[in-house]
Amino acid sequence: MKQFQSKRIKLPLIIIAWGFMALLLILPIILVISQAASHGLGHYLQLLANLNTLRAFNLTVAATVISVGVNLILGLSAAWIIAFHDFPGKRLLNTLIDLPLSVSPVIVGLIFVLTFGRTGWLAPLVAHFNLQIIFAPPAIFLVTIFVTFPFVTRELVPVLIARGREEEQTAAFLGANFWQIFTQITLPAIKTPLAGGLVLASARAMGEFGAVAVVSGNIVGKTLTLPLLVQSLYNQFKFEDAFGVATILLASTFAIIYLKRVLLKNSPTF
Amino acid sequence: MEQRATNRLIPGYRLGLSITLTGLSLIVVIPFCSLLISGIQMGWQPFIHTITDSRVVASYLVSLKGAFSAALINVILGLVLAWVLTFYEFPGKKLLDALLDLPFALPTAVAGIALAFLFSTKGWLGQFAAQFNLKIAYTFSGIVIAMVFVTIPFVVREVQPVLAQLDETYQEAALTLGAKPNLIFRKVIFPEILPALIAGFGLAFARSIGEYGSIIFIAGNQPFKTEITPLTIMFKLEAHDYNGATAIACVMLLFSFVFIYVIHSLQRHFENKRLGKK
Repeated sequence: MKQFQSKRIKLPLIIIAWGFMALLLILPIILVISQAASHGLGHYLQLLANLNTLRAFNLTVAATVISVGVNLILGLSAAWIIAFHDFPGKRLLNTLIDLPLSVSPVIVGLIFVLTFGRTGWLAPLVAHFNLQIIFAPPAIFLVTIFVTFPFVTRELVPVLIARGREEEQTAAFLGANFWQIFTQITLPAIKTPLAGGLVLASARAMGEFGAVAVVSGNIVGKTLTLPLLVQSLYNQFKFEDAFGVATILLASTFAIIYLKRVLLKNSPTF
Repeated sequence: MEQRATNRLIPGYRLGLSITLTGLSLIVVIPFCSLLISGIQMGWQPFIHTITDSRVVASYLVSLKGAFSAALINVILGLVLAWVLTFYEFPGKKLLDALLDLPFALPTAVAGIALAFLFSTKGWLGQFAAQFNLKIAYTFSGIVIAMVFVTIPFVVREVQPVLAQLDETYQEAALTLGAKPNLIFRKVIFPEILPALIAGFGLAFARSIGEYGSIIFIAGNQPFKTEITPLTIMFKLEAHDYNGATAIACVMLLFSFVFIYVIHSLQRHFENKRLGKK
């Protein structure tokens, strides 16, 4: 690359790159923090200790934990059969697993309303068991699982395929059962990408907005997640409070980026 | 026969398949069937009437134009970023690389309010633009900026690995034959990275079309001017017009699938061309 190392080419390109990133990525971060701090530390701490903030925080944590837990099991199962077994319809399965990545969040919310909402075709079933799904936490959990569905599988499948099937085949040949093979051979080899996939899933789960906005019903203190609380405060012109709540999400974002960079060097998804 | 033998050899096939299929049916397949059922039930005429309504058509155009502009901007700036990160050493390089993860990890609502504040006429960057009589927030430009923000990483992450694996012998050959850097870029490097650029463009475009959270705060959301299609669906839902929402959603999904197919074909075409040349 010698021919592109001259200062005349190099310097302008570096300035463009840094300028673009500074304007569009660094300034917004500084803005969020400075707006949150604009009414002083006391106000900020009061906002964090506010009951509605705590409830939104709890709901976001619950949605994240549940969707990450479900994805751990579903992602491992899907990756196991895709990498280790050959069966008809495998390509269709792959397409279905990637589907959530190409659907608008608003449409995700819509399809769950059409299924479980008052006019939905599963409404009689929901009513029969006296459940409240739409405009209640269960719908929030369902859409969050939907949008995070592909992450774990997409991280695991390439790693498992690159590793090959020999070790698992040998173990099975020697008489090891499924649980022994999984815990003693496969799991130790995929620990890091598995954790990485879960980190990506939790980033998406924590921040999901469009899909949750459709199914939540926006009941303050009950069905508001942190991102929805940010919107609700912003729409009430309580800007410094909106940015204050946003700092919780910003801090989690930094933690997630740090973990992702430790666990996954070059992820295709993120 | 061989396939069956391997299937029998590693256990856990039935367990894995049943968990996967159960989860996939409950979470993905059944909800999608609802969309299909609801679309079929509403009948042909109301369906066509909804999706050709002038306000809805205007929203398609806003979404398409915005996504196209954002993807194009990201192809150019994404190439610059990938280039700089691959070939040059400079202060803050690691920080720049880490920042590229931000748009995917930052909740879209946080990005949305921050960008809206930044580019409003009283905001840090909006004030500056106002001196030149430019209004960014609550206009079409605001939509493009939000779309650019959320899709910055796509092109960079597609192009980076290709640049890192470029075979330098061709460039050196070109250099010995007297080619200028400009010519080497156009004739030797560009064909190599074109498939990755197309893939990055496609991913950025598709994501921009569906994006909601980061856009609505900065868009102004005026019908016919700055209303994106996902927001039109949202309005229909808020008015309890589930049929209307369904019809527009079907159009969006159909468009996404056709678009993904076209991008895949283009990518394959240029990939084959690149390999054929060698």
